[in-house]
Amino acid sequence: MNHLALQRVMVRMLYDPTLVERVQSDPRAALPGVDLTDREFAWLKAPDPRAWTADPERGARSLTVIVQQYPASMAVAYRAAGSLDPFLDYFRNARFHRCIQTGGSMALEFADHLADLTGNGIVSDARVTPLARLEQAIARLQRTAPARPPGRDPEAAAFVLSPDRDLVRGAAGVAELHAAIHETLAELGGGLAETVLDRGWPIPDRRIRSGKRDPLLLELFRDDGPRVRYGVGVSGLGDDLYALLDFSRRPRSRDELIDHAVTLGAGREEAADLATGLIDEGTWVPAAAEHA
Amino acid sequence: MTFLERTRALPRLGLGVSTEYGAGGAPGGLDVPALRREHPEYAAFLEIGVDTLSGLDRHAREWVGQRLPTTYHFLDINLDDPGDFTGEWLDEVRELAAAVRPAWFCGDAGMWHFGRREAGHMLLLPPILSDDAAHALAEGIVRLREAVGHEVLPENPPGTVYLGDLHLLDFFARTCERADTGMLLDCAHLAIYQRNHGLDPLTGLDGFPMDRVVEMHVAGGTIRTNRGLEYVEDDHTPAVLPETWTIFEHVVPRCPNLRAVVFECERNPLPTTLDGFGRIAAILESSPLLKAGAGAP
Repeated sequence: MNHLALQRVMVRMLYDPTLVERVQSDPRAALPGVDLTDREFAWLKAPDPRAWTADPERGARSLTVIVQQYPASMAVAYRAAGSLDPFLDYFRNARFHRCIQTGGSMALEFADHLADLTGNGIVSDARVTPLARLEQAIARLQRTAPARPPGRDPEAAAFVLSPDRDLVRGAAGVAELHAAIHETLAELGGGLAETVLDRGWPIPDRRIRSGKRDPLLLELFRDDGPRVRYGVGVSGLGDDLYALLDFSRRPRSRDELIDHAVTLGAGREEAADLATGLIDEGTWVPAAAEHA
Repeated sequence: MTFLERTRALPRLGLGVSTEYGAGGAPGGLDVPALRREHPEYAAFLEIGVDTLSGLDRHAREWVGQRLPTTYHFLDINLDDPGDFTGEWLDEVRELAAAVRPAWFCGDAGMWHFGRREAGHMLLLPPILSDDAAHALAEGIVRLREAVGHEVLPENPPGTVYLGDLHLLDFFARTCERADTGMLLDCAHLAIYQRNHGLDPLTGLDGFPMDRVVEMHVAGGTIRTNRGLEYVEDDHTPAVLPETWTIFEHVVPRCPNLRAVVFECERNPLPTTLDGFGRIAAILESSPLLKAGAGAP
């Protein structure tokens, strides 16, 4: 299957002119860990190097797609950085190259690039990383959720946390800042990426306390219009409910779930009502439906 | 049953147009219903470009709602990658195909996306032009054909960079033989390849199995330069390059099984496309199956 590895190298070279130069100079040294034959390395050097860079806007277009998935963190980060250059550098970065060569998600990996930029001081706003982590979790849920809603059966033998839900512990205050930025973006309207990168509006004044973690529930909702869209809502949880939902990541019978709620401090009748409510609203779904 | 036997059951679709999600509603986009009304002979069928993340737009749904002829042009499968055939994707494709009722499946046999199918991962690269890749591609074609129950016609993709040691036409000849399938020959993409390699437009066609060609594409392109290097952008303008016409005129009379031709001009106003349609229709008079009076399927 060397052709698949070669195609991934092609993608990397189309994005990164510095890689084109390095491949021209010494392809084996430029592509450590890529298992190609001498003949295949020679193929990479054969085309006119200018052909690889015929579309210089490729990175900018891809960044636009990424911005749409990181609207809150990019709104803050862009203001802190003062230009798009650190974000466009992603497409020349080792993270990006590793991601493409291993078949990963360009957008999911981007959160780590933002964290790097914050860590090394290129982006000087500490709110960026917690926002990026939250948006990365949202993006991940959008990818892992099944195409159709999971089935419902209140009489199922076992239940599990719906694949349309996920639990995260975000830096204290991050959900509120995220919601406030989204509210502002919705009020401003226009193209999402353009609005995010418009520095004419102020970031809502909300604090994030990185030393403390808030339990959060991510919930995917579907808009089955002409073109299927997914959205993800973020809501705060109490520690006990978070622990109960975390317990349900593996299939559990209704009785096990009620017993666990009781150990977390609920009365038995309250725990039974809670279980009924979580099943009715689809937070817990039949274990077999997880992969439906 | 061999492909050449199976091909007898394929309908003669004639000259048609293509669309993809949002093209019909875009400003300046081709008004397909108007084309069908005013020049039905240019819109005998609709080739619907489909990716499962987007589904069908209103214009495509209206067309299939009238039970008019279609083909299903996939935009989201890397046929040479076994890992790309997920069960969820195949289920969605079967569901869409049930709605579209295509005469066959077709689409560029290249890399449609890197990594998994998601926003930002889409692009289109040509296959690696090697014998191994031809094997892998043939296996993918057979796999999709068996999964969807329709013929799957690989199309030669466009590109600015091609890797491998085979000529593009030799690569597809091997692929078609191993998959025992027909082919969608895109004349504009072939012209791009030949120009990219400094070859005459007709290079390699003498040894190509013309009886495998079931469908052809014609489209315009724009010559651009990057730091002095000329290349063709496959932008589907109505201005068809001379080399593309040369290939089309040469191939049409030599294809005994040609059943459909698409003029890809989906993002252009109707009046700007009529000259191209007219020239294609005139050339099709040399087609054994598609010339006027050749009879019903």
